[in-house]
Amino acid sequence: VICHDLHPFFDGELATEEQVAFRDHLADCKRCQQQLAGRIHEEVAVDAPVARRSDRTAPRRAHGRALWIGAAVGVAALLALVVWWRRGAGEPSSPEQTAIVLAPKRHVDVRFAAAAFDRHRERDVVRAGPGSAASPYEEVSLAVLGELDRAGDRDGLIAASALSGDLARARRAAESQPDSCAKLTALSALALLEAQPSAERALALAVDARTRFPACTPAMWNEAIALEHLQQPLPAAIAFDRVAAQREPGWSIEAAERAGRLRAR
Amino acid sequence: MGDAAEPAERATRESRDALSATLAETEPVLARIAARLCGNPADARDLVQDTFERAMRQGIPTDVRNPRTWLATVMHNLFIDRCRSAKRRPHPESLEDDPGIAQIEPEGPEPAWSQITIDDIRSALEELDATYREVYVLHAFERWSYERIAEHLSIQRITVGTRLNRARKRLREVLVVRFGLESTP
Repeated sequence: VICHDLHPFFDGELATEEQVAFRDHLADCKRCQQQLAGRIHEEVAVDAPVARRSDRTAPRRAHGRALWIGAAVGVAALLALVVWWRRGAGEPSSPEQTAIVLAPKRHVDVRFAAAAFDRHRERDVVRAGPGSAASPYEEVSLAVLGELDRAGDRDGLIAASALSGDLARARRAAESQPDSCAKLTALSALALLEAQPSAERALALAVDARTRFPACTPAMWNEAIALEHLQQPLPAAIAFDRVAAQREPGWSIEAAERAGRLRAR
Repeated sequence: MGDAAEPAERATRESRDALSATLAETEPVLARIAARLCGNPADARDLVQDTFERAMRQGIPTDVRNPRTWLATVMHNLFIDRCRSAKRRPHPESLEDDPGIAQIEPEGPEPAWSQITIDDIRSALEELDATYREVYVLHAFERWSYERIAEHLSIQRITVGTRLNRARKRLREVLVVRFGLESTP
């Protein structure tokens, strides 16, 4: 191993065994240590907040526009759905025919980005285990699932399937979508809900979502939950701070409280 | 007594809020760097967590002008400490039991990089030959891998590394003249 491996090492371009050897070399090589500090400082300078604002103005605006258009289309679709239901059934005669009605408390701690399923509800997380009759899932009628499907509300269908316990259907629907805040958020949530949960995978997906879609608050939330699962209280608190700063009704207050509790540990 | 305690509490709260904001803002770049340094996600998270614990426990000194650079230096020192510990004890029972040997908190003057803004870097890049500037921008700003840059520019992967090294060398030369950046690293 020689000193000029420093740059490929820092750039993540060395094979695993070369990385191990270089770390060994780094333990004693003052010159490489100094150069490594320089590279770290350089990357932090390049990543400064001003860089993010000016460098990515155009793509961010495009994202912003896409999100606004997406949100507007989503709201319009939801309104159309409600109007359609009301028109079809006259005055509402049962909750299932009028709107999506969820339990007053949420039973799972992860979030989905579909607006109709992402209203903040008090937390009442059920941990179903062997021998437990408790179910973490809630009742979402087949009629609602069918209507979401017919209306083409894929994000709503993914959330509804997952919250009602049909995780396989939720995963299939999510995986068939192009990458979006909703898709990656759903996959991160599913990684924690599925029979063989993986907080690592959930974390990677959530970070990917909020990096690529900066306004993706539900993914920020799922990132905090994944970090809690991974016993990382401080990074989890910081992730909750990020959610709190978004000022979403309900979620922001709960995020701030949870960040405070994590720091107090 | 309550009157006296209130401003003190407010000052503590404001200082804690400012620190939290700095940590939240710096976490993505440190996490990205830590992932490459450590080579696996669990060690990378521990490294960032340890860095933040140091900052939370002792606070960032008030005379530090750039808290991001200060945090980066702490993380660098922690990482070097881990490399040394791993070398001394190739198969430790637990690295947490190892007292470590490095000085973790930054000492001496702040590195010159702490005063350099992204606009300074952008302006300095104008001095680079376009061949080197393009590779640097794709790598440092767009975070493309060597492989992807090589494919995009139809050059060999090794050439990407060479051009990046030359770009950095030239960039440093410009920054040394303009801002007195250390010429060695």
